Amino acid sequence: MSKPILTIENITKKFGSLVANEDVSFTINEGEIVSLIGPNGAGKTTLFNSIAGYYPPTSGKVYFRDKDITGLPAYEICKLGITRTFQIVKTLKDMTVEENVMTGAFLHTKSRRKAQEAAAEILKLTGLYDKKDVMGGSLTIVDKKRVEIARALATKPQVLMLDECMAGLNQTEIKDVMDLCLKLRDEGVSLLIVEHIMEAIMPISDRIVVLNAGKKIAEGKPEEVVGNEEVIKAYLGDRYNAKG
Amino acid sequence: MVTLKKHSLAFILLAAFIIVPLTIGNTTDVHNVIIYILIYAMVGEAWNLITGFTGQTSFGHAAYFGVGAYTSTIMLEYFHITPWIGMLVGGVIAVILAFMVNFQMFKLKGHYFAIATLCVAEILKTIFSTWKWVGAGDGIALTPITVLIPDASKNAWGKIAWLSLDVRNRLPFLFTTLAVFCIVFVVCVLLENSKVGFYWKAIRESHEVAESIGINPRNYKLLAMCLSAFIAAIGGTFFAQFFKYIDAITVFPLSVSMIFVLVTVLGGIGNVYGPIIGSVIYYSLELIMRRLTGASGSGLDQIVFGILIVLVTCFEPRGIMGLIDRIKGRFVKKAVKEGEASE
Repeated sequence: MSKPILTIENITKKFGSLVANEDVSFTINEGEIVSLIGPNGAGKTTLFNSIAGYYPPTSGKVYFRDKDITGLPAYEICKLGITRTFQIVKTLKDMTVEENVMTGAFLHTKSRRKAQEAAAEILKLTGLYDKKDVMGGSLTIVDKKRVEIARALATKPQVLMLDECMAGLNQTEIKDVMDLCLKLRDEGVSLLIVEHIMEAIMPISDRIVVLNAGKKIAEGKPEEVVGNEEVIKAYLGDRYNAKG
Repeated sequence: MVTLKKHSLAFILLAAFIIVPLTIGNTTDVHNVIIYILIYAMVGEAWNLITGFTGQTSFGHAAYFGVGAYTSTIMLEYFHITPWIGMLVGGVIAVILAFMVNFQMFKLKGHYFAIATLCVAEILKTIFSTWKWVGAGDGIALTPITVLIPDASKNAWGKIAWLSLDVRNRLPFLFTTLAVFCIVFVVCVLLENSKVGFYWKAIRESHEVAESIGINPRNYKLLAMCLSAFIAAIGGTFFAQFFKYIDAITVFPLSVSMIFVLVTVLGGIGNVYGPIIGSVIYYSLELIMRRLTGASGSGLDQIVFGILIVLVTCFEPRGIMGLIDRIKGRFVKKAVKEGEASE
């Protein structure tokens, strides 16, 4: 089995007396798609923010390869090769789609021309090339989500963290994103995906981590997780558990 | 070619600034106005870097403007050093000031940052209006260069009058200011199109996104502020050399900071043309109103300008340049449609 690229060790995050994450541990291996699922309020986005450096965890460690990255500022973590997207899309609205993506590409180059070339490649990959001159603010939600992914990709991450990038998309669009995820994995990018849409997650994930009320309740291959009693209880409630 | 076309407006403006003072506007009055236009546009460009591009509202650019004005004036008046060196030293001092003050202040965001910048200028105003060595409340009146250095004609200073930036003849001063403004303008255009410019804009749009793609917001904000302070200080030097008299009330007050803000907002915030267009409108308006009404109408230009600002902020937040873009956009769309039809 390949080496872990991202190791999350006993992460706990408290906001005052509210425990958002409690003792969560899992790893992501190189070239693997790991999905993080759970009901609303399970602490998925909080965990995401702790990993990406938006706020330090109360306790626990995050390792990138062998390097301890716990509590590093977000921009340092991005420079190391971990890039995230946002659940609530944050398109740079007064810049064109191309400029949005170029801003990401500038992480690895000083030259405008090179950034533009890198951006063009990514725009083609994400199907945005035709819209490259459109202002970020006037895009549809679908395209904003695409820009969000494209901009993150432009930083050439080794680990890409997608926060609910499929919510609100229709079936064909979800299929596009799924294909994109698989394509990225084939190129050697590891992905951590937070998602609600099971039919999109199940086929592409190598492993699934399930959170409920801040705790990890299950981890494993998609088919193992769906059969897990705890998971069914968390999603459907106790009443349906007897059937499972 | 593409860049030439993109910046055709710059060449039109440059031509106008060369031709107008030599032909239809060949009077001291118009020359004065044009010099003011250039000086305020220069500091407007500086303000535009930090607020228009980077999105950190500064209401205290008079601080850097005043530091530049005072430094060069003191160096010339007390130590007989040419303002060309004075403006660079002033720029460096302004940069140091900007760095020290904003290193902590950039922890503030939005309105709170704006309020803090305002305080910096006010503090400097108070210090300079009580500091004896720099003339305290009396300020400093620049001595004419021939008096300051009696054997000026035998001196290199006298031979190369422009070296002292002495304004007895306005035209050379006007063209010197124009040249420096052009340099500032070109620097701003280059910055806007570079990595730094992209990063600034990303920070303006969203701190979180900036961080997520590997930008350290504070470093880039500091860079913007320091460059901005440097340019503002150069603008201050030109103002002092032209006005020939400075005191704390002339260079540090809020009203001066607001001129930089207003000309840029009117012209188009976040656009390199904004400050120059806004400045031209502001001072042309003043000139026209003064000619129309004489002394009795003083303040009328302010009223008209105020109305313009209200209209701009309500209907076209991107200022006059936004309006021009919108009109251009319409023509382009029409042309495209016609092109399609003819095919």
